[in-house]
Amino acid sequence: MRHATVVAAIILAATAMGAQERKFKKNYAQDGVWWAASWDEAVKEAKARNAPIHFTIHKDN
Amino acid sequence: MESSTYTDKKFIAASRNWVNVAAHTESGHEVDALIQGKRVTVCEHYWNIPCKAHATCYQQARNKFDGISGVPATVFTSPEGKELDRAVGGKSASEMINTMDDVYAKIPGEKLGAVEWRMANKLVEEGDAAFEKGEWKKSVEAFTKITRLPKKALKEMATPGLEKLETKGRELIEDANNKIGEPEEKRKLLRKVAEEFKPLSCSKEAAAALKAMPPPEKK
Repeated sequence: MRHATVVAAIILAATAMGAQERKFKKNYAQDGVWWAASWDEAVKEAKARNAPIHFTIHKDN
Repeated sequence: MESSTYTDKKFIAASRNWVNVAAHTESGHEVDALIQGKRVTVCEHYWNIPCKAHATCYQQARNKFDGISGVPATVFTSPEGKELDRAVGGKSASEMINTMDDVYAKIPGEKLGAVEWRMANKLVEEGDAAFEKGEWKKSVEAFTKITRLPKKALKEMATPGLEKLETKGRELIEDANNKIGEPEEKRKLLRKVAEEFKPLSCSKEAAAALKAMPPPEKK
C-alpha cells in the first residue's frame, strides 16, 4: 500500500514537472498553413479535392 | 522558412489550394498555446499540429522521393503523390507562390480549395449529427446548403446524406400508411414529413398523401 502511494506520488510529480517544462507561448499565431497530420491523410484529402500536395522536408537524418 | 515563408499571409492564402505536408524528424518544439480560445499543445514551428504529425509525415513519406540530399527541400506532387516539381534550399514566400501557381495550373479538372472543402465537410457532419438525433429539418437544411455550393464535387458530397433522408422520409410515410383506423395519427405523421423534409421528394409525396386523405371529421 505504502509502496503504491510512493509510486503514485513519483508519477504525479513527474507529470507535473513535464507539464511545467513545456512553455506557454503567449503570441502563438491565430492562423497559419494547414498542415496534414500524416502523409496518408494528405493523399486521401488531395485525391478527394483533386488538389496538389506541397511536401517540405526541413530536418533530415 | 518556418518563421518567414510559412507565416507570410500571402503564402498562407496560397497554401489553401494545396494539401500541405511538413516532414521533420525532431519533435522537441512543442508549446502550449491558445488558438481561437482553446488551449492546445502544438509545434512552435508548424502551425497548429503536434510535433508527432510532422515526425509521422517524415517516417511515411521521406523515402518516397529520391535524390534529396539537403534541406530544406520542397516537393510538389499531383493529388496521387507523384512528383511534379521540386525546390531546393530556402525560398521566400513569393518564390514559393510562383512555383506553386505554375504547378497548380498543370493539375487538370475541378480542384477544391481547403476552405470550401472544410466548409462542406462541416455541413456533412452537422447534417449527419442532426439525422442521428432525428432532427430532420436541421439535417435537410445542412445537406441542402451543400447542394448550393458552387462546385460539382462539393454538391456531390450532399448525395449520401440526402439519399438517407429520402429513405427515412419514405419509411415515415409507410409508418403513417400503417396507421389504419388512426386518421389523426396518420395525418400528424404525414404533416411532419411534408414540413420537415422540404424540399425533398418524400416531402412532396407526404403532402400529396395528406391532400388525398378525407377531411377530418367535425366534432
